[in-house]
Amino acid sequence: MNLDELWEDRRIKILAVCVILSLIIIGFNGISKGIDLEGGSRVNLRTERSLDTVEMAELISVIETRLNIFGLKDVRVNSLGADIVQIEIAGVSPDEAIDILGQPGRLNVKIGNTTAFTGADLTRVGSFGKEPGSGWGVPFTLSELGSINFMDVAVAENFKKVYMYLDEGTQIRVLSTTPLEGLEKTLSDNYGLTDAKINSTTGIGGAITTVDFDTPMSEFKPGELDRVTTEINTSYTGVRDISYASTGLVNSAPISQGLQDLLSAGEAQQSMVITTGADEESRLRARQIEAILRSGSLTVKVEVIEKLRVPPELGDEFVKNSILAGILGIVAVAMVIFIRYRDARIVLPILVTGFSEVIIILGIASIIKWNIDLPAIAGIIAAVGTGVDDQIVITDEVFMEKEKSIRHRMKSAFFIIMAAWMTTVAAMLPLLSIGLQILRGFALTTIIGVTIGVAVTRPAYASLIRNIIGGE
Amino acid sequence: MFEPKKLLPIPVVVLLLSLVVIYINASAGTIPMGVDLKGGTVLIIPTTQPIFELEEIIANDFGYHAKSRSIRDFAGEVKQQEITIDTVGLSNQEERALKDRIISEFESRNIERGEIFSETVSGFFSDMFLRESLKAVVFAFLFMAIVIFIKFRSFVPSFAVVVSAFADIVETIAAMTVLGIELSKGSIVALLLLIGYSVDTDIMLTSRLLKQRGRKGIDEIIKNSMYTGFTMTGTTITAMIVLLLVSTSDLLDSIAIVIIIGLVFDLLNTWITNLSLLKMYVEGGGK
Repeated sequence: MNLDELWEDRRIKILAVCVILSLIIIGFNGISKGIDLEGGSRVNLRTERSLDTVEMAELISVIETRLNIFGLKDVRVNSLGADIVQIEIAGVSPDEAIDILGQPGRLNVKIGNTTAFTGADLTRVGSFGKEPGSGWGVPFTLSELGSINFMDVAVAENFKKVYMYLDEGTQIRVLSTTPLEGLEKTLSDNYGLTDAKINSTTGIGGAITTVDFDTPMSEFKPGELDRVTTEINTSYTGVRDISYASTGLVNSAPISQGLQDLLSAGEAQQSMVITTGADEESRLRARQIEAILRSGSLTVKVEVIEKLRVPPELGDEFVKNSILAGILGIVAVAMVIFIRYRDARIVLPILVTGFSEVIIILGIASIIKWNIDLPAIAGIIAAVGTGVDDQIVITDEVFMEKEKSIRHRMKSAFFIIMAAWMTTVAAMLPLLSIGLQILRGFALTTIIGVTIGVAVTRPAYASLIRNIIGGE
Repeated sequence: MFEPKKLLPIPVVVLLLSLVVIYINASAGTIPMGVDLKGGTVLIIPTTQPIFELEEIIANDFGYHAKSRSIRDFAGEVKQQEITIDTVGLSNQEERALKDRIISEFESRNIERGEIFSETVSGFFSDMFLRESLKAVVFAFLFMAIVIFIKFRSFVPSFAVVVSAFADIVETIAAMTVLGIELSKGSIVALLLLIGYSVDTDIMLTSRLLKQRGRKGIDEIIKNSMYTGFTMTGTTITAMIVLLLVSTSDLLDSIAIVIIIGLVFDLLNTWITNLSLLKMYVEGGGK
């Protein structure tokens, strides 16, 4: 084997460059893994009717916002076709997400402490956009009654800021030297408050107890919360501070001078715009406000059609196992090839090109941010398997047809290889257009893999083999 | 000398039998299907000590038909208990009640377990999956066939390749039905893979026979092609056996087993069905 000559070969250079580039890209970008390898949950929802792209984008934004507001981080929401929304969440039980999406959010917009309008008063919420001169904003329209109420509250509260609450609740916060024992019983026996969620944390300097109600402050009986706090104050010793407040505040915005002037003059406005500012952060805030206004209910009814949860430990095990299976698989294949040819000079190039192929596929996945999940691993197996088959074809063609010129032998080998490549791509193409994500992922990885094969690794293998038999 | 024509009745009988098996089971609705294609819920409990009475407990307390199985790792140790419930459309609450019941059973027996997780597939989704998968398999096959006809440009050899690929798929599905291997995400991926894999050897054989005849004796070409073909199939089956032994993923396991079955049928169909049709064509002076 002549290494200098080998390196001179254009096809070997291309392969080497591809492998090195892929390793660099993987080093910088990493490889993103699907839920089944990373752990986490996936929920697929079906909308009751097909949505156009604008409606779908709105629905996705509403779902994202609601899940984020409820503290679920790392949420990925995507559409799969016109009527399926896929939600992927790192590490959380899908039930939590389903519970959140299952019930419509209660929107409550307040000025000061008084409700100015609720989700029921909204007749239209426009898409957020850039308003000329005033930055990003969300237009919305209130019913006539709602607009009059808004005006009255704004004037009475002296144009304080507008606060938006989603699923507003009430929280009592008690700071005490010792945890409060039996508070649950006191609340239900004396006040009939059975839906309280009580949480205590003890730290340096005492305990903080929070009592959460799903009920908004305005729905308690007048004076009831005051009586509860008084009772807690008197019946427990060591209470240092006690207060109550609304929970579920998601955003706020001031009332503009122009609108203040109109409302002061008694001109109720049905159509208004909430503006946020001109920078990128304001754009995101406007997007969130739009989603909040819309999330009084999801715009269309949705139904859970699939949910899956994979614990992170199991995902880790899948990855380890797949790598082990891959290495052992390649070793086993190498043994079969050695038994057939009895020549290590053939085994080695087959192994090297096989590994290169895996690295290049992963490199491409890393560039296009393609998630490597179990179906993708199946696709990689398919591609490498086809690659080994092709290399056997090249080898046999080269060794069995010695009376022909090497050029001719390669031509025959590549006729077979190209035909095999075309059939694989043809078989995978229809899968790209159907609505099953698992099959799409598999098909795309397979197509990428076999295409790299015929374009880069097979020609390089042919050069290697040529070089090996150079003297023969 | 190897005379494939004499053996032709074998693959013909196998193909006919397979069609009958599929027809009978399809009309009786007894083709085994996984939760992905049938709908239902799978609860997975990480534990080394499965409780098999859970099947009965769930049937008694909830009225669901439950099926339990344990999943072992590479070393043969039990790692998980998996409970499949066929009932489609369990609500979140019903599922939680089920989990709570299982948890209390584990607690009362003092058996350690990890957090229970679940996979639920609604009837709508499974129907869609089945429908789209069938569509995928049919179109994948059609597209493959079109490429074969374009590439070889003569009817009999192309037809021989397509027929043996068809026989591979049909016989594999029939064998899965008989062996009780479920149609699932994994096995459908495998069937699609098989469409690509199984024609590789047929393409090699056909292209060599058509191009080298005249220069070499037909029997020599066949002998050489068999060396190549058996090496190709041998490496793939070996890799799949390793995958089956090492992997703990259901999806990869079902892919491996289906491909192994498929490639065994492919040996039969490439070297008897395809070869005898091709040989008759070549010997008949076909162009």
